[in-house]
Amino acid sequence: MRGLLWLTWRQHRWVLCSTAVVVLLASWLLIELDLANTPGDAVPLSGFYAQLVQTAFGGLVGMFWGAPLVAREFEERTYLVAWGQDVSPERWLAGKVALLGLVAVLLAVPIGLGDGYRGHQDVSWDVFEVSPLVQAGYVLFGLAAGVLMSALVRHTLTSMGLTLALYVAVRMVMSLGARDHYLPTERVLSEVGEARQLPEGVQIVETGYLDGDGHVMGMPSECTAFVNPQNCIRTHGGAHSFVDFQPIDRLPGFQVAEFFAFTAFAAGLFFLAFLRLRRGWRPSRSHRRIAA
Amino acid sequence: MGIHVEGVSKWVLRDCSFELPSGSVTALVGANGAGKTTLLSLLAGLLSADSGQVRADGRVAFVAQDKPLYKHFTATDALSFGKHTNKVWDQERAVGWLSRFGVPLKRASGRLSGGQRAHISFAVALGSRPDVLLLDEPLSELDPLVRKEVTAALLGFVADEGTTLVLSTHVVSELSGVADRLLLLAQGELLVSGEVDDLLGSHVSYVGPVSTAAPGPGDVVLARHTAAQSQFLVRTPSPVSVAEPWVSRPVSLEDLVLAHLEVAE
Repeated sequence: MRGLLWLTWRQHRWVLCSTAVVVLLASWLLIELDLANTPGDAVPLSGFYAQLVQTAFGGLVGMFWGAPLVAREFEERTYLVAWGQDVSPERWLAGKVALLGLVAVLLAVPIGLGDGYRGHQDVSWDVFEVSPLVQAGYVLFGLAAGVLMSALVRHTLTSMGLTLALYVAVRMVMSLGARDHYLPTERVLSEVGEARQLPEGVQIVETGYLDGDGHVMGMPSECTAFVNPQNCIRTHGGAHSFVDFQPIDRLPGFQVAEFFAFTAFAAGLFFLAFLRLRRGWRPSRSHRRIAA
Repeated sequence: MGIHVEGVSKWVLRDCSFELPSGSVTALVGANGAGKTTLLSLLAGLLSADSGQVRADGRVAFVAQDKPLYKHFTATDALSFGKHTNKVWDQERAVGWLSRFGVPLKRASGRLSGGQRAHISFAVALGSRPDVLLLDEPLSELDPLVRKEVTAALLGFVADEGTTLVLSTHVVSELSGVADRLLLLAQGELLVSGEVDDLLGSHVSYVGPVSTAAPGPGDVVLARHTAAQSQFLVRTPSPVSVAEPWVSRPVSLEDLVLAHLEVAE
């Protein structure tokens, strides 16, 4: 294994070092801006900068570390060298993933530290991704997506494109669809048209109306024309309005859940990549050794 | 047994069977596209056969025709790579090869000549002390002047270690004095397989007046006719002398290979 770590470092030291420099500069800026700003109603530009960094990091690592990993060996035909020694392709991949994965997780820590505008009052659903743990999950997933695509298509540019597509698709599905439902939502009811009392800092998942039996009802089409449709809704059988939400004290737990979800995805993708290498290049030379 | 191949088919290759004893030196010849690289890749374990069995005993090292190397690695890096990825490593032997052929140790291999890169590939392969060494067109990148020296050095190494060596080539004139066994492929079929001495002993060339049939026993491999004379290269278990005005001549390995290749065209 030490030999493989040497090889990984020798082959990828420039991309590792340059990524590290960019990440450290980007996160220094994040933290600086974070401390310099006071939270207000509007999100300042620095907040968007933070979102950009925290959205892009995992995908970029997937594209630039993961996607070329196997594909470039095929393009330059060096897989003949890499897998022609006493090291099997699976062990070779394990060595690479171990070192790259470790460095990626270490770099995820500063990326997850600052949100660019909220100072120390970091506890908010708006900055869900400002968490070293969540960022570690994302970067492992990005790397795994890159490695799998790389093993499947064996062409660096195609593999980079597919990695980006897979990363964006899964991140969107998870953040728009799945994340709000890691635990069942809580519900607050109020009379139709009355002001409702919500705990502070909640993430609103859904709002709507209930009929007299407590069933969710759609907005009656006749009512959509009104500026204040409450009376119309009442006459059409609406008894209560409801708000489904996730309370703010669930935020840390959800971040842990997000980390485990993405780490599980990553494990699945790495497993598929290992299967791909194993099926394509068995028997390697040591497997074919005949017992005396 | 060093290498055992039975009924193997893959892509162009059809139903190839042969055995190579350990410590033997085998030349694999054939026209471009005959299946030499496919066969070597099967022996190296880089491909798996569609049918049949391939067995190579012990550790196999394969040097591909284009001598792939990491472009940013220097020769020193390439040797460290070999040391880090092999259970057995002979640094002295690998460094010895590089210094013998004057390969710069500190320059990235992307900036070296094709011949120098070939030497790095050989050094890595030899340093890993393989039991079976497979070389695909090993001399193709090399200067004609050093080909003989490289061949002699390779043969010296494998003879010392008892390594089974298989080397492919389409340059037939490089063969003499190198291999003790011959495998001849044409369009995926193994036409000739055996020890060079046996093959030379079982082929003979008859030269005489223009004729449609060979004057002696044996299967005609190749017949050539000019206005004045006919020449038949025949394969026969025991060459016999032929009556005047015919003359029988022994064939050289080059003649034998060329005749088989020409017929297979």
